[in-house]
Amino acid sequence: MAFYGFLSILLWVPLIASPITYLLSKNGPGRAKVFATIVSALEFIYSLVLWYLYVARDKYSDLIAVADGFVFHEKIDWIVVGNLKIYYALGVDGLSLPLVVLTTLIFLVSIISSYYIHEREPLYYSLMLLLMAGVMGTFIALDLFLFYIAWEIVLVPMFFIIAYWGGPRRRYSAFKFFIYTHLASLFMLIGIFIVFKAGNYTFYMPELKTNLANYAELSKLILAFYLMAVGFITKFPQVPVHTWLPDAHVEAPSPGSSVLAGLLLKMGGYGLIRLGVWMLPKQVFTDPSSNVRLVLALLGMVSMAYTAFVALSQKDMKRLIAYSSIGHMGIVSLGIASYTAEGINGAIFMMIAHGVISPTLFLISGVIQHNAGTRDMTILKGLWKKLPITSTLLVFSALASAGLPSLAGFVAEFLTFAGLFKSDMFGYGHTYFWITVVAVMSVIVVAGYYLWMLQRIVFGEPEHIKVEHKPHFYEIFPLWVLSFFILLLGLLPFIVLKITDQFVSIIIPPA
Amino acid sequence: MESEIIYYALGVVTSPFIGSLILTIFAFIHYAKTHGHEETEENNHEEHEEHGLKYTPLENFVSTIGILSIFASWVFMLLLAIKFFTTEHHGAFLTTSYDFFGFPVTQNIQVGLLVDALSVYMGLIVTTLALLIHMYAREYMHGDKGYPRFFATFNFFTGIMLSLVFSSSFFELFIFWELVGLSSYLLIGFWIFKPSAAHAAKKAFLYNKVGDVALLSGFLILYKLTGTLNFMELPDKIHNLTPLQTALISVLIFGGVIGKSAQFPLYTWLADAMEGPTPVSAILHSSTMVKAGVYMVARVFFLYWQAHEGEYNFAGDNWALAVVAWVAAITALLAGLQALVENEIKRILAYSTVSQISYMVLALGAGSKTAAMYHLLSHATFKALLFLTAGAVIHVVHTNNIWEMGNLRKKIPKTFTAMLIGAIGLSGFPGISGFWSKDAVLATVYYSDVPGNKILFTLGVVTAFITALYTTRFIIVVFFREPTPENIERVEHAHDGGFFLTIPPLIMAALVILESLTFIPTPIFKFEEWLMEWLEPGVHAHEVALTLPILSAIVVLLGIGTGIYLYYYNYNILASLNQNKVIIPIREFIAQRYYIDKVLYWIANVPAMIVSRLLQDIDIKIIDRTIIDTWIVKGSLGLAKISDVFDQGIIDGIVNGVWMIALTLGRAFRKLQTGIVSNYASIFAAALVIFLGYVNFLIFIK
Repeated sequence: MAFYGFLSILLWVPLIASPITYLLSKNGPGRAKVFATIVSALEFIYSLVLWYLYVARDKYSDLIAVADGFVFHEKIDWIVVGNLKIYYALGVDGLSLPLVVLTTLIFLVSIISSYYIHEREPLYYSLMLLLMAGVMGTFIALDLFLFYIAWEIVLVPMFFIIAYWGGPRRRYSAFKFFIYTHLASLFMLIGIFIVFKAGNYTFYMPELKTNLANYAELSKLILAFYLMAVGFITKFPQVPVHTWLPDAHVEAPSPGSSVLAGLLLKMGGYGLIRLGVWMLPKQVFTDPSSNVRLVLALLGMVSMAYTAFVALSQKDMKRLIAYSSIGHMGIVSLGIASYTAEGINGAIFMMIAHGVISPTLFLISGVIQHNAGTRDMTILKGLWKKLPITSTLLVFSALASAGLPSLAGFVAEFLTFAGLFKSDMFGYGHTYFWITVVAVMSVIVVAGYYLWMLQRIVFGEPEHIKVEHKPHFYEIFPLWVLSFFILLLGLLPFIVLKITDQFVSIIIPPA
Repeated sequence: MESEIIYYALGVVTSPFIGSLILTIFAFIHYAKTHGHEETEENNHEEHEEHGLKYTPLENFVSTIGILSIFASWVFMLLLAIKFFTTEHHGAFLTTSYDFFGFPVTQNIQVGLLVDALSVYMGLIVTTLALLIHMYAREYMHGDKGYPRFFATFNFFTGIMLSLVFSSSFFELFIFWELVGLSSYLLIGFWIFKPSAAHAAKKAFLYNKVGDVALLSGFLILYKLTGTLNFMELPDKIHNLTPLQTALISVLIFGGVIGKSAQFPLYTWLADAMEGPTPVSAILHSSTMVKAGVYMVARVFFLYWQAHEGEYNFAGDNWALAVVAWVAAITALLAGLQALVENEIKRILAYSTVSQISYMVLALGAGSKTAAMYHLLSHATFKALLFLTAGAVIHVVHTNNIWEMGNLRKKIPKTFTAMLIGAIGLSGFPGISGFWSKDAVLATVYYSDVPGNKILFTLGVVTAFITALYTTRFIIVVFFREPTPENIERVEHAHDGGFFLTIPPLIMAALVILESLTFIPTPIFKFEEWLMEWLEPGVHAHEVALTLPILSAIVVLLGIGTGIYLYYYNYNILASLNQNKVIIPIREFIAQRYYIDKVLYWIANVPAMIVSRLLQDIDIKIIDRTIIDTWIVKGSLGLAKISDVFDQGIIDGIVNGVWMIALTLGRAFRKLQTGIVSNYASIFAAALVIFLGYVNFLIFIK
């Protein structure tokens, strides 16, 4: 007898724990963080168990429900209005499973590294758990209705995290973040409705996929793609709808930045691949009349090159990392645009790799700010002498972000570029081949600004830094955990790619 | 047989990494224990050796682990070489490679160990020199606060280079290629507190990155066209490529070599890389890093030469080789001239390295893998020797500038002997190792069919003259010339270093002599032919006319003679030359690195930053302030105002209207049925529902 609650547990535990966290700690301060840590740690361990069960699903076939290509499948009627049925449907496949594990990991380390927060502590951890439920729901929802709810719920706790615990311009940034992403998701909503209508009035994604494959009017689907893409690309984000990101990152507390960069950006990438690449028929991408791939490739290329140059003239370390995030998400766009097995696998891998690398960088920037008092790169100097281990990890993660081989970022970059070169975008006499060229060249600038940052911060004699004590254990420990994953994914990428390819091979069947 | 070879190769590659891993963990624990304060004091590296050599337990432990792991690697390498060269089978062995990406489409990108004559030959050079340099570093780094960090990185570097040598695919090679860049970054910037070290490290990494991007593009195009990146499979798959495609790929791949092997115009980083500790320079210049480029071209030489019916024939359309040869010849000359005007001993050696590597690349461009690898061997030995001895010299006189030294031959006789042997090797003195290998390169160029081969040959000969000249120059200035009065005291107290500072250079000197003896062509054994038989089976060396070695010998002797005359016997000519109005600007032009750095820095500082600021302005001023904050926010506020008017004027009007109607109706009803107050409300609600339902209905059918 199959068990139908695997993913519901994953989704509902943080959701229920959220108010409990708040209520618990009314009596004693400090309870909230312990409780939130325990919940997120359990979630992380549980998600690893799910990973194992997913891999060994043939062995436990009587326990695990597999339906419509999704594992741990759950589907019950939720809202029934006449013929319209909205399901409460959950499931994971090769695309969402790595993201689910990433979610639990990033929340665990972010919650641990939030221990320095003492102001409105119960509310903070309660919001973190709510955020976790929202992100998780986005990744595992199979019904567009549920997906959209989860997608929108995420905005609320994130808004408050920025607005309550952020830096000096937090209110501006929080509003900017909220309005940008909320407006964009309205476009997405219209896109969803077009798909809903075209796909024979259902919100259930696997059913929509089947129905849309027979839908004749390609132009309407392409329109739907663009509308949905506005939502995803703003969340990603890509140039020119990216300006909320640097502000939000700079003002958010560093654990908030880590969740924002590690997971909220990935929601955009996930949506683009799930709703765009997977759900819509192949013709949206491959049909000669469609220029979807070209637009995506252009967005990706511009985002890579543009942000690489902008990052060169940043003074705030967090801003620099924020711009580099946009550039890395550009690689995701390019990978999707290449529409090859290498490219899409690379794009998914980039989301995972960036999902562990950028939180590391943001958390390190937090450690630096708390211990050295500033993040301003014109003031910081000679950090190695004061914080040797933090500095070592900074060098490590900055180089990982710059795409150093044997670390996670490189695998994704390599696969994406391999896909780009292999795709028809790059060919003799093809007008678009320079997209690939510019994208590859911009990697030099990326290495340039990271090396400049390291030269500036880590090397030299310390001047204005005062460090009274060693960084706390809770500040350093998460960095070690994430660094371990950066190295693991760089050396043994097949752990993830074996899973993601199960998803990609549905879209692009191997020849 | 085969399995033994594979196990030995695994041993060669993994031993340095195991050492590095132990040392890294050790270093981290050490820093965590000492809160990192161990390294916070200034490194008084130059001051410590007077108090006699007392290694701390920490240093003993660290250097023992470091040296032992390299020693293990060296032993494995010897076993591997003996096994390999004694088998009849001249082919290659491949370990069972592991599927790196783990999905079917990319199964042709493998990661494994490739053992063939080339990698065994290179591996021997790397392990032998690395072992000696590690031993030297044990004493050289004595007293440095970063001792554990140094050995951890140094072992890592050696391991990376060996892995690069045994790479079985382009993908794998690229991983280690970039990691070589990383390790050199960490080692050049080893003295973290020196701003110049930080700058040099960044420069090395960045110049390399430029080349790496070209390399990556090159082999990804190859991947697109052939579907594989494995060195074993590629030779059979490239037949279908057009000459243009091959040429494009080859030149892009050569771009990587320009960065890594310091060719024109990206060679200036190598001179700045002298900021690292001397053992780093020694290993960087002798067998690793810069040789990686030469090695890679040799590895994929089939790309540069299209295999045809079992014999290598020069493909007429393939101009890639000409590009390679010409870049190399120009670099050789430019760098040689720079070595002639440089005053810092390590920089002289650095430019000399650039110039000598260009010889190897030139040999490759002229079409001979053998000549390149031949010169690589002799150069690796004497250059490592020269760097170690130069380090020893700097160590005792506390200066880098050759003009502040002088007459050191009596003070440091062991170092002097070793350095002299190295210098004789470098100068290409007839009969010594450098002479034979350089001669092989020049002969290859002379007989090749690269366009302009006679000019290339002439450039090579001129460079040989310059090489002899600058070698003589620094030997004479450092060891023979009387020191200037202000420097006498500095030189007075010089004395030879301890065991580990002197023995490795002397062993290397012995190796140079051994090589010289081996290289002498005899009727029984000719080294070059033996090497060619292994590296390029089926190819036969061109019969070299006797005039070529004689010419080369004359040129070298002439260079040495000029050097002795100029720098030892007749200062006056030199002084007047230095005052000459024609010479000064030329000298300045060379000393300014032909303004290559200026141009490259300008590109990085001016146009790149202009673009950067411009885009930053677009971001903040146009997108944020204008579009978002002004247009959209003000627009929305305007819209809100309109909506407000609409709301209050029209909607409210309607609602009020409805209210009025309801009220009127209510009155009417009240007239009919005596009133219940709640009727107002329910009738109002009903009316509203009907009205809104109607509006919705209108929208919906549209």
